[in-house]
Amino acid sequence: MEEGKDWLLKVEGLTKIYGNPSEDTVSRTGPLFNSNICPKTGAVVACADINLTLHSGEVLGIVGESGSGKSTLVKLLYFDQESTSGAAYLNDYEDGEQDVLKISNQQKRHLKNHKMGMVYQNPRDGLNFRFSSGGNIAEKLLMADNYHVGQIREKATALLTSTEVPVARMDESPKNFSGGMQQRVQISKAIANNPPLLFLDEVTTGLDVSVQAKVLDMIRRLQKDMGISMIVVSHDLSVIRMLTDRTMVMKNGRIVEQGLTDQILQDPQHSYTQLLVSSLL
Amino acid sequence: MEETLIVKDLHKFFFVHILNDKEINALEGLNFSLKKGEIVGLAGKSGSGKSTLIKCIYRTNLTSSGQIIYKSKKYGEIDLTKASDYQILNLRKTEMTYCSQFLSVIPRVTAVDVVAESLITKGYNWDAARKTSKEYLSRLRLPEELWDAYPSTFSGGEQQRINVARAIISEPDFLLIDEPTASLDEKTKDVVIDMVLKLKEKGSTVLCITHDPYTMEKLTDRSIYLKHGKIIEEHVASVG
Amino acid sequence: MIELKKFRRQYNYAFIDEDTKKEIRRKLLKAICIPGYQVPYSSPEMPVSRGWGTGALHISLAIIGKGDTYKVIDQGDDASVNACNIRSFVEKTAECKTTFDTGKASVIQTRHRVPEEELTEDQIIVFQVPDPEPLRQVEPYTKITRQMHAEGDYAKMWVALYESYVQTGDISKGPVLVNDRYIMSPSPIQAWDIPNLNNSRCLNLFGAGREKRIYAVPPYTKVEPLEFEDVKFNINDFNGAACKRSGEKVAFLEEIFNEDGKTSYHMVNDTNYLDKIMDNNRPKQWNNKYLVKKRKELNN
Repeated sequence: MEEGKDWLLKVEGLTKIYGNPSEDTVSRTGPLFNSNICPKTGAVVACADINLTLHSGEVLGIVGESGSGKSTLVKLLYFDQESTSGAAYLNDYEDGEQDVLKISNQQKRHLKNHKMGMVYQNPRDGLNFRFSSGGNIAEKLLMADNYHVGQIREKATALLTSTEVPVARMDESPKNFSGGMQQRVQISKAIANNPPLLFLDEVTTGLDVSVQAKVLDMIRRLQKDMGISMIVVSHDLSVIRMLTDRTMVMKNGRIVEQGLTDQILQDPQHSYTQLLVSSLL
Repeated sequence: MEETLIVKDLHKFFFVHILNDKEINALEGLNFSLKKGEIVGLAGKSGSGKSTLIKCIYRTNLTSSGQIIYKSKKYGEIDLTKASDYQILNLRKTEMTYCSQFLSVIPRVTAVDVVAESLITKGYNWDAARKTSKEYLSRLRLPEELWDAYPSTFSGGEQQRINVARAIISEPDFLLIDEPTASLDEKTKDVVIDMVLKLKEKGSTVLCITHDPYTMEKLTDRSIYLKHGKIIEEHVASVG
Repeated sequence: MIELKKFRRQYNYAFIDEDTKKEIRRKLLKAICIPGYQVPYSSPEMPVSRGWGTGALHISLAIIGKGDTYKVIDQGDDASVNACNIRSFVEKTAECKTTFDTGKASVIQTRHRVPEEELTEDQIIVFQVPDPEPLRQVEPYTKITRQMHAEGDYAKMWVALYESYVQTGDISKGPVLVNDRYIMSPSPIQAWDIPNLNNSRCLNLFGAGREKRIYAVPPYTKVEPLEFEDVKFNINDFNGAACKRSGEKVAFLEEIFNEDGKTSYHMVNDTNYLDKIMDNNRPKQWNNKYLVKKRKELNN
């Protein structure tokens, strides 16, 4: 059915295998075998045959237990890791006809700095603790060709205000901040260039419940205000319920079920999803 | 009058893997249709499949077999059981609204904002949306001191009002509504009935689950009775 | 040591053996072809500890011939102990002439300064470089700094510049962008000297012996200091101070403290330049937009 041109990201057959795959590594792993390790070569299939379409303004959740390949998936899309096979297309890059996984590192970086943002579970992965919080945000802005210090500081101030980080601590390293505050600085950095696409990888895992709530509220507000498309990776169904419109369930590196988030939660089809939902506190 | 919704041979069973592959038949071959601008009541004992049916239409439940043809503004005639997730999301955003029996909202959002958010997705700005939201809440007689409080702390009746306001404020073309008047006092009941009738005047189609004979009488044009997942009776309400 | 009877010397001409000099020259050619790019080289043992100008010495000895005139300055001074020792070493082993006169030298080896007198197409200046990698301050791994250079990924360098502004309000110590491509450390020369690398008529060679790297800025090559749109690079400002001996204001001035440790006076740092001014034999100074501005300010 015609879905128009308002897709933002299209992923086709994305696969990541560690080690030496044999011809039937993919066909002999997965949820059916309850394993992602190739019985022949021992190669590990982090994820395989992932297809997805993300529309503008849409929030897609990816849920699954640890080791299901959900983090790998977003890391491949953010170019942190290199895929084994598969393709990804961005609508506003080369008219959506260029596989962005195949472009040069320089082009990837340009794309990352202009069109994408990423928030990692561990703030250390997204922030450089040798720089101040303001400097971390400045990095994104500088790379999008903003070389005006005054404007950079103005923008950083606005971002930190909207993520409720005390502006007085802008010139301090995030190393001195609490976990929740570090996470908010990381989010400020990720959205500094108003990217149309934001990846969130287990952003609230490891935070206190009250801090978790604050961070989630903030992400939700930013999403509503800016209309950013997001891919939210979490093992926590309540995070998925709160943030996403659609959900994909992953197990052993494959998508076992996908649908509207309320459908996944109320009428799960796959046995694994049913188990996941019934385990919800 | 033209039909807004045609349900053909609708089946729904739940297959519960974690209960040793238990199969539950919820709906067994439903056939009915809704005309544009109609308010149809859905009745039956609990467990008869009313909510399952409404959730199938809204795609919160996947349909096992059968068709649900909906005449949408955006896509024309579309089978809701086969439409893509993306199309369903678009319909939910622009023309189809579901008001559940229990309020399930995002925590830590105030009553006014919960209601206003329905308008934000329609493109309103926050100031205008909050203003309209407050009008609705005051018509539904929600005490003003609760407007800026979190609905999760409210009583059943108060939550019910938030729920109704949230569904009606965006004036959907097609409204699915589950027990809108269950825990409300007489006066507020009338306000809700009045609001839904106003929607009808604007051309909206409504499918409404209710146990309450008063609401059924005042609100609906006709009604459908379910028993064990089958339609046992269809009534045209006595006019006047 | 084996005596080389053919040349009646205990060492090869210009100290380094011919094969190694050839290697260094090849690396120099590569460096000149890719302005600002750091070329790894052999960095052979010298009778001087690494870190005492061995990189520049390697280059000087690899390019010098008997017909050359050699000059060494250490922070503007021809007569410092290091300058004297290096000069006499090169003079002895390369059998060349030496001079204090900037204008007469064909090869000038320098530490931390560019002479005040403008250099010409016939001259080569060789810089002693302690830390050739400008990205080291933001990235500890060489594998990664090389990748950053290769991909022109200078984000962290810019952030460091931003941080430098936030902490000190000053960005004039930062590195330079060469030929719109590579970020390069101009060696620790003064901000005053950095604009003179831009579009210079002379050939600029840089040697880091301890780090085993050679790089170059060929004549007439664009060299720009990193700066922001609203926060600009600037050369040193001496707040209107004048040289105590010559009264000169437009030159890099050194602040020298009196014995009381409190009062101080200024002197032109480049000894040869100062001598020429005192002799009423003022040489042609460099010209760059910062100096033009400075002259204008001082005239008003």
